[in-house]
Amino acid sequence: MERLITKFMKLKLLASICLFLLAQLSLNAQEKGEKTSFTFKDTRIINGQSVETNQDGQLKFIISHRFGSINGGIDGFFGLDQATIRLGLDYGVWDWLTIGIGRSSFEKTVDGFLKARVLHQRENNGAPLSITILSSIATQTADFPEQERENYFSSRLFYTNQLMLSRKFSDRFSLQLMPTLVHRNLVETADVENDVVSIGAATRFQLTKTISFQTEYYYTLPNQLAEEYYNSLSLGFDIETKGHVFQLNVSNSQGMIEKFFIGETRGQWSEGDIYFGFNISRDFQLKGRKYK
Amino acid sequence: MKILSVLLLTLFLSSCYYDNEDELYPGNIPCDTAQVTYSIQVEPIISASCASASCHVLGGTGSGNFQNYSGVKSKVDNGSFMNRVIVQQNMPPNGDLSACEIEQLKVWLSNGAPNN
Repeated sequence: MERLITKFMKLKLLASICLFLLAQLSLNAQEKGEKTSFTFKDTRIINGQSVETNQDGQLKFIISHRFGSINGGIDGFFGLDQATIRLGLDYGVWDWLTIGIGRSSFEKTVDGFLKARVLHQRENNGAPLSITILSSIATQTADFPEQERENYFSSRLFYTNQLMLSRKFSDRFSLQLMPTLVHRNLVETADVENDVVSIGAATRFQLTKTISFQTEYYYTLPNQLAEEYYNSLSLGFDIETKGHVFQLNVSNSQGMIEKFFIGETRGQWSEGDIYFGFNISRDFQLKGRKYK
Repeated sequence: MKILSVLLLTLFLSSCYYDNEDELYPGNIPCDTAQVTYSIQVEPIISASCASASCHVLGGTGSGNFQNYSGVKSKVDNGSFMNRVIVQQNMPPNGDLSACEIEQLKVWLSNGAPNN
């Protein structure tokens, strides 16, 4: 119990300090220069989120698919026979605040998040970078595998808090760093950490006017996860069409929310455990515009 | 307003537990892996989790027919059973095998997946 309270207090203190500093930074940032746009093409990079938020009143419907591993061979049509899906709806309450919900077929997981952009990079010696905070909660809705014991709802909850720091260096290149804390209320053994600290890095290279290349890597600090879990590395292309962004990617992680790809990536690139997948998003403007 | 929302974000932090199964369920019945047989442990797991819901059955959406031993064994022999169920644990796709069931399947595979 003492351990629980101490860890909890530390976590709260750390989070409060970070949020206070960010709020101060946001208030003091010089409001000059044009806001940079399209640091990333979409609100998702590959599996993880980007610093971008929805516009005021914008509803984004995101369909994400991840197929089985390609090393299954022709028997499983290189993974295309097995698919997991996440359906998501993100809504821009204001330009700087997005709320979203989603449901993944894997472990029948429902997730919800709040995403606040506290600082926007500006040109002409304005703010040098963009900062966005993500806070999400996820819960499994599949039946408990051990039905005979007393199970608690809290055991199925997972939390993620992430700080995204990004800079668009030029029209061709953007970089994002994302220190992340994933909390699992229940883990299997005392040797495994409930809190998992990971540091993500992502890049975007604009190849042509409509196509860009993304990389996304999450380095999880050692001695937090069981041995069978690995760091997540993903590569992808964004293809922008009118009203859509079509994202094609390969990854050693099959999950599409932080709980999965940070805490439960079982695949290894060196073993050919590579999953092909795609995200398609469609935008609808619900405020300030009437559809005919 | 921004500060208000940032404070709201901290609400998500406020219901953390630090549980692990070893301590939360100290009286857990230990998983019986001493004598795992196809007929007693493995077949019921496969029937409930693989050869159901029109997946790994004749004419089902899954590859192979797991309603009989030979169908299962062919996937054991080509390594895909081990890879998907034990290593990657992405099959069954909804991840509903318990840790004990996975452990029993692992023992059965390491014994050569006999039809006993």
